[in-house]
Amino acid sequence: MSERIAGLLRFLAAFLLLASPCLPAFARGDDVHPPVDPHHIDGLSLGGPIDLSANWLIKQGDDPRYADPGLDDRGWLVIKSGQPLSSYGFKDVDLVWYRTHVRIPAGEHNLALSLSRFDGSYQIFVNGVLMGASRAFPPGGLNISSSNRRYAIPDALVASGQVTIAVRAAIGRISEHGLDPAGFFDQTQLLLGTEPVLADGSTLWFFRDATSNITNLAFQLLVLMIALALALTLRSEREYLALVIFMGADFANGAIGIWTVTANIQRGDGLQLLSLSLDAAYSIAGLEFVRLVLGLRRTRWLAAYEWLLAGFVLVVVFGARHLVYFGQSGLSHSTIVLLNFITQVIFLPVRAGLPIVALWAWWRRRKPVALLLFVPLLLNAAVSYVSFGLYFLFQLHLIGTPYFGNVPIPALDVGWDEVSTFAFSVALLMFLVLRTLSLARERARIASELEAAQTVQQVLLARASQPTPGFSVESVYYPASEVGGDFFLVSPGPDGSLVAIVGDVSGKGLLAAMRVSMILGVLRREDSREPASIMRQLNEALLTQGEMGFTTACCVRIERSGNYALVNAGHICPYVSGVEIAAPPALPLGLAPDQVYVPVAGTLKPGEKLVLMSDGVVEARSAKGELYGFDRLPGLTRMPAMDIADIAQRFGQEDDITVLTIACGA
Amino acid sequence: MQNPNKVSQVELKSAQGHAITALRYTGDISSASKEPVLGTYQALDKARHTRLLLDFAKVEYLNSSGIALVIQVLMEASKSAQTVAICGLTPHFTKVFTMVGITKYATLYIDEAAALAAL
Repeated sequence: MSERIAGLLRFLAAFLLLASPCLPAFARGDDVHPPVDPHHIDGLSLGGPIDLSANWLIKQGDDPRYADPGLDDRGWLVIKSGQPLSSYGFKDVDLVWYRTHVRIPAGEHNLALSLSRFDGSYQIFVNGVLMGASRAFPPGGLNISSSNRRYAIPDALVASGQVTIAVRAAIGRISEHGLDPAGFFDQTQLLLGTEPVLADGSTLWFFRDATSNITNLAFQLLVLMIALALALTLRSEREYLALVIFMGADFANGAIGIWTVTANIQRGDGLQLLSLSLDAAYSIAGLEFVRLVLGLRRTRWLAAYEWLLAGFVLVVVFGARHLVYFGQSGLSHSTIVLLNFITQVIFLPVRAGLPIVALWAWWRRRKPVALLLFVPLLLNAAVSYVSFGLYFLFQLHLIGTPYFGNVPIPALDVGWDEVSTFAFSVALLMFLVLRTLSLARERARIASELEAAQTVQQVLLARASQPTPGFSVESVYYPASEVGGDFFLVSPGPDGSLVAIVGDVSGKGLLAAMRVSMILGVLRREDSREPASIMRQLNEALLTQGEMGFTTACCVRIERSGNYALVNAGHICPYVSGVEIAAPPALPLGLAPDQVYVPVAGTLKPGEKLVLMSDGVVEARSAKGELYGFDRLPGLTRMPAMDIADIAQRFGQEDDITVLTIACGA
Repeated sequence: MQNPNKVSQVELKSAQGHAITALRYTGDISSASKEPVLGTYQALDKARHTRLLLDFAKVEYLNSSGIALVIQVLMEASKSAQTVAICGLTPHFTKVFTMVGITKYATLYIDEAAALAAL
């Protein structure tokens, strides 16, 4: 097993190494900012802003003298800002100082510094004087990522032309290991230039930075609205509700991100906790969406994993980050590395596992919807795959930086993650359209089948009402849905007798309708005209079906003289002149073999009628939940069949209603 | 709107000192109640739970598919030589249960106290 895993890892490493030339320049460790020598940057020809971001003198620790322009920093280490600090041997980094020296023309005026995307808290000094700081600095809080800020430099401070810039930085300990950026990283930019030019640059920076985010947010809102409409329309399809939560959480987090960046707002504990809670909702709803679309069971393991995600995000991640960022934890280096590793492992199934689940579902179950879902999931996870791959290669010292840079578009600042998010939204929208079309087609097919079944049933029941010489028969049948589970049959015999049966199949819909068709077929083929024999045959026929459910029925044979014999299999007893004809209780049909049905005999006097009905009459339920019940039947059954059925229907039809009345004499 | 069916299992003693396993149902019993009605019964150890009391006092509605499930429980209990009593039915459903022949397999009682006194 271990050999297999080792083989797999070797294959993965080889694949990523071969693929590395195809990666963006940032990921290959190429220079994003022009390299500079932080001992001496030549700014004498200050035609435009100077980019100071690429290289820095650095020292771990904290000393106010590090801001002093006269400090001898020749022994400080020179770093490249795209490299994780761990690659320079730094450990347990809480506070670090960056320095750089720039030579500008003497007497230059109206200068400023522009700093964007610094990861952590900072204080920035020019020639030993504090120019500005991030909104929070430990122990009063820690910036996670700052937006664009500009600091004006007093003319007198740089009159000599010699400028020493020092940055005191507090960064999270987790960051030093490469999975998260820290301090100056490849996307951080520090520019020195004239104030008006940098002001224009700041406006442009917001445009460059926010355009793609706002575009993504607008597209996410569109998908969210469509998902909401589907969730409200197709309430039984719960995956759309999960999708609403999934997209809603993502949208809210994106909106918070844009708001904090554009308004230059420091994320406090409350906002950070809200963002993490949205992350948890996003992850759990995403899992549920995929599970519901793929028709997978919510196993105990999955439920436990979802609880773990919620608990871990809210307690461990927030708690640990809070402690680490504020530098109050005293957590050891190895504990932080372990926490970081556990975080990655716990989120791996959500970030990278969902496309694999979809692919597995397609491979094992051949569900086209799984393949359809695989595409957006893969696009969503693509950045995670590449990020993990880069981190893996970086740890093997095969590439210079594990960070994922921007798309090389000159006009806009677009991250590969944003491209992935956009592609995911488009693919998800396509998925929704195709799936909704498929569901609509499926529903149309079912509706068409139900319509066909309804037609068949109507034909069968119409044939059930044959001419009945010597008897006056009325029948009413009100199905509760397109097709019903009630049935009746009236069959005049050559001897002048009449056999009538009224029954009810448990359940509704197509299955009940098919069973009714089968029963009517059996009854038509039945030669016997004895109710007990008919019921036995029907019971045997239904037992062969082997499905759950039962059929109640009452069968009666009436002579022209008015003498009748009836048997009842769990059905509502018939009524004559408002009086119930009690029959011995018997199990419904289709439940147990060898049932004995004991007939009850009686005589229908001239002017009397025998009323057979289904339980749709007594189980009609009013809007208040009241059942029509048995107590009203003595009065009701004196009425014509149509009136009985109409009254029950108006009371509140819940089930099929069938009423059959038989009187002697045509 | 349908009220989902739930069941709770309680161990009781009858007046004569027999151990009675009461299955107390709540909500609506319909075709969706297969797990609470049939599943709960089938999960019981038939050798240990020999006397059962099905309590419908808090059941709001029973349709024909729900009655089919109850009959299935009673037939299985009959095969396993378990004694089953039913209580808490409204007069309407007492009549329906009688009509469908359930009284061949179980005795109907007005409430739990009446059932425990008789069992």
